[in-house]
Amino acid sequence: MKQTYVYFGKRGYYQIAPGEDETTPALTNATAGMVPANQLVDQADGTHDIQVFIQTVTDGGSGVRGTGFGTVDYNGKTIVSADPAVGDVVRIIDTAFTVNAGTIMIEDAASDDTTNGYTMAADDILHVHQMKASAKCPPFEVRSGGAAYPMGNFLGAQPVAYNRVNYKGLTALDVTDLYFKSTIGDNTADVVRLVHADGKYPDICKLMERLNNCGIYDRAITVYDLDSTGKETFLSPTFGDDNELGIIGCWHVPSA
Amino acid sequence: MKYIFANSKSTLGDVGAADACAAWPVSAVLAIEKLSTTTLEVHLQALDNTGDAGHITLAHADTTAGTTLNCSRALIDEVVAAINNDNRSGVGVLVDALNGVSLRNGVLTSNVVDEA
Repeated sequence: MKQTYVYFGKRGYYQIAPGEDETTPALTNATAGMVPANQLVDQADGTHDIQVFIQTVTDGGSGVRGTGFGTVDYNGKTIVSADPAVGDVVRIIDTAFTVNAGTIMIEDAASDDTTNGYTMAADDILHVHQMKASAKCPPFEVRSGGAAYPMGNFLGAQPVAYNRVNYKGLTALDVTDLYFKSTIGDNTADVVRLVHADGKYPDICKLMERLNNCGIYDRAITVYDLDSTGKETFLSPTFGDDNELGIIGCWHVPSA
Repeated sequence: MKYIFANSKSTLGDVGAADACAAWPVSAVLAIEKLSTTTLEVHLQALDNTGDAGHITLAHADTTAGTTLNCSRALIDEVVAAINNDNRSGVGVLVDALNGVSLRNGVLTSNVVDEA
């Protein structure tokens, strides 16, 4: 009995409104698809393989931004560097964030880094995105770093309440969990979590049906992957190589 | 039903030991997963316990080396092709150290068969 196999690589993504202390909870594989390696303060930009973004949600006398953010935000919107406005999205360069045991902390613009730092308001959202497959964003080339499952072990797809937005364009996001029979052979399940564009759950179900019946048996079909150079591989519901599903995060939560 | 076979031992006298050599029906494959920069793990239902797993750990070149970055992913494709084999014998061989057989992106040494 021949079966098609589907391969999922991994790209970590996390967002939270951490409040005024500019510190995230410790990221885990289950919550973020990565546990970023430690990084000390004042590293050159590009040192780490994660990027950190802040989306301003609260206007007025709340957040304070450093003077080094220029006049245009990540999405091309005109901004005033030191005066955050609702809807601004800026990237915090490596110089102004630290990582310790999976916890990311932004340098405070008021006290730590008046150029590249940010003093967050209570509702401002911090986004953390893995940019390439690397040892700085484990799991890397270990369990949960990438796996191929037989479609005969696919148990089902479940939409998960998410109600958040992408820092790219501030478009809505959804989450779908794909369940497969446990890789430890017991009665539990492995979960592949996809963070994707809003409303794509039906298309993901169509994709899984098509994968199961596509008749490709000589290789594992990649649904999503991120390689060590930052290049992504996609599979659309019509088997095109575009990101029609709007996937920005993909990771494995294995059975124990 | 077709089968997959793995033998990690290069000496005939060692083949009969536990965790040396086994064949599974292809329906027993649970997943094929990256395990390290030099190994890939084929998760299988255990031979003697339907609530547990066995494994075939296939060794390959180091994926942190520039020339072999993609060998792990390529080996996954080869394992899938072996599982879905059209061999007349009905058995896809993932590794056989005794007879010097491995998949193209695999290597003959440091493979592991874990039956249960």
